[in-house]
Amino acid sequence: MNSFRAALFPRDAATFVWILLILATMVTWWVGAEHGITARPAAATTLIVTAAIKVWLIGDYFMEARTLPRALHVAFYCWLAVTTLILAVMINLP
Amino acid sequence: MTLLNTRREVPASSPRAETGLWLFILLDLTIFTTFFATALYYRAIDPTAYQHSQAALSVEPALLNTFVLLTGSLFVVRGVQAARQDQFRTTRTYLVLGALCGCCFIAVKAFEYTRLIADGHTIQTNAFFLCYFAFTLIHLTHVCIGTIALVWVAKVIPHRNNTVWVLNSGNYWHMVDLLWLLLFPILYLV
Repeated sequence: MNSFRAALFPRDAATFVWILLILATMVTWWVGAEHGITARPAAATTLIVTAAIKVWLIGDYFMEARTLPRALHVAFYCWLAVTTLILAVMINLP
Repeated sequence: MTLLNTRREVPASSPRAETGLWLFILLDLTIFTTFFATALYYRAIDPTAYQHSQAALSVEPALLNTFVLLTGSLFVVRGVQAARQDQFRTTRTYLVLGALCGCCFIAVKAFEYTRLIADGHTIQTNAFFLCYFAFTLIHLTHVCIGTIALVWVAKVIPHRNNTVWVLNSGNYWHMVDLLWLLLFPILYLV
């Protein structure tokens, strides 16, 4: 069991990113569900931006987007930037 | 920063996921962007109805499913790393664990749908539930495909030793995870 844990959680980028993703998810839940402050535009925008950062972490460190050919690499980040912008604007529509 | 340097951890000579799969992923991501925008459009039209309907959802099962998908992604990453070191039996173990996470997600989602329908909420209730059921069902279909892909690659990998298949099924799985990370706040929290 200990050797499995050591193999699953070595001191590398994937472990570090996974911990960050879990912590960010817990903060998102705490902000959104526990405190019910997402009706405020700033808080709702924060949730969207946090989700976008999590997507960037998965793209870069799990999907290895940084190691892709340049065109695909740029296309992925363009999608992420445009999607984040659209969602951040739409969430603040009056 | 060394800890976070992907390039150092992926040797230049290592196999990569296929370009065709990445084009498919980008197309799928773009389609989902229209889904996210559609949900927020209905939220903008009638924010009170959106938040009132949203209150019928339980956040805890969705939170559990987020942890399940993230953990499945970590298993898949370890499977890819093992495949790059030609440890294909270890890869199989990690891919099976990833697929089990997929099964867990499906079970939690089934529980969630059952509870909502029992409470009288269906796809025809209003715009929010139309978005909720349609988009989460499409996402659930992706989870099922990702789970089947992981199981299939886990079954054949010890005999075929094809790292690219592991990378392709792994990247598809990560895409499913990534889409859920955006669906979760849009449907449950904002």
